[in-house]
Amino acid sequence: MEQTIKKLENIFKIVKKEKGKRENLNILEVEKDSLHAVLSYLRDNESFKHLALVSCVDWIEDNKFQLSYILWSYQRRVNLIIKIFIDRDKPEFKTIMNLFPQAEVYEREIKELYGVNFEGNPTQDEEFVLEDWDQIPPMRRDFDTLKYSNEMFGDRDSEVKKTNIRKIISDYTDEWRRK
Amino acid sequence: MKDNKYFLDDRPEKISYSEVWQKFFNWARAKSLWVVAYGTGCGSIEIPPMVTSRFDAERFGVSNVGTPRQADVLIISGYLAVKTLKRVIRVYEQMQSPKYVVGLGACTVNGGMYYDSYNTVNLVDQYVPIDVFVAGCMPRPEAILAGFAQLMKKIKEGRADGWKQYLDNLDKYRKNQEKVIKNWKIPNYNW
Repeated sequence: MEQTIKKLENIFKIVKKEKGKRENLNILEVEKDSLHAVLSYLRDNESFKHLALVSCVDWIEDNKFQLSYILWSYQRRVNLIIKIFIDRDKPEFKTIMNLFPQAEVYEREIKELYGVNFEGNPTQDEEFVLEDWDQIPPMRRDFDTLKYSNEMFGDRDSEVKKTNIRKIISDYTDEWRRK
Repeated sequence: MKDNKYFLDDRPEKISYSEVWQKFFNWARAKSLWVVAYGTGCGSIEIPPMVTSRFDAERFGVSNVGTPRQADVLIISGYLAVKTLKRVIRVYEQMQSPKYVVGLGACTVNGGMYYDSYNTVNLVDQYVPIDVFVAGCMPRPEAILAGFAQLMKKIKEGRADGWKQYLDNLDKYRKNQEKVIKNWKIPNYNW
């Protein structure tokens, strides 16, 4: 695996190298313009033929979205995560459907849950899990799920909420101990 | 046929029998509850052990059927997403009229561990009338059977009248449903 990373370093610019929590997991951060080249190099020359997942992380403090492309090699039995950062105010990137066609569904999911626009993906605007969603994308961290849930679905504001359950339990256990 | 109706969406009429007949019907209904096989959440994994040989719900007359038309009981098993609520309403309204709903798990009571989720309905009984709640996360098949025993008791006493309340307060229920489900042209009634 280290040889592969060295070869990659000779060709592309690698911003950051990390070791994963497992033996066979490595994480590389690359620049977003060279992502397609890195993925196609890994797919064609280094036997990373399987795209396991495309996922997204919202770094609201840095004003960035992280896109992670998780690859798996059947021959070497190793995982490799290629991650890039894109601007949070302008969440746009290009699709990787020309390299891995199965990325279509992952990108559609990310489009719905994070609002990242993937240029060139024909089905990304279709509904994935939510129907008729009219708020900001729900997995963004500035979306207040508790407030939305209380407004939309209500809360059972019965006696249950007013009573102090912990006090009742502690009173009961105290009484029980005294006996 | 007036104004070219292609399907029926009139609201159902209520038929009332004398008290003696109703007592007889309730006694008979409690003896055979057929459950529509429709799992909405993770609780549906507890239904197969309940109906198969270990807990054997069929000795109480509880059995699974495939379609809502033949069913008496709808089990809302666990969390209910807004997308599923649409289908639940359709299934519930397609069932024939003495019909009962069992809410399984903490999620149907008040949202459970998904109380702050953007997509899980917290109070299910605002949208569909629920006769028996079974608490737990998830309830074991024994608990579900206990819930069914309670439902049978309620039916025999004539207290399981959620379906009557649904017809009486259909406007109220529709208002609640339309608040959650957007852009859905709800017919008067889903036959």
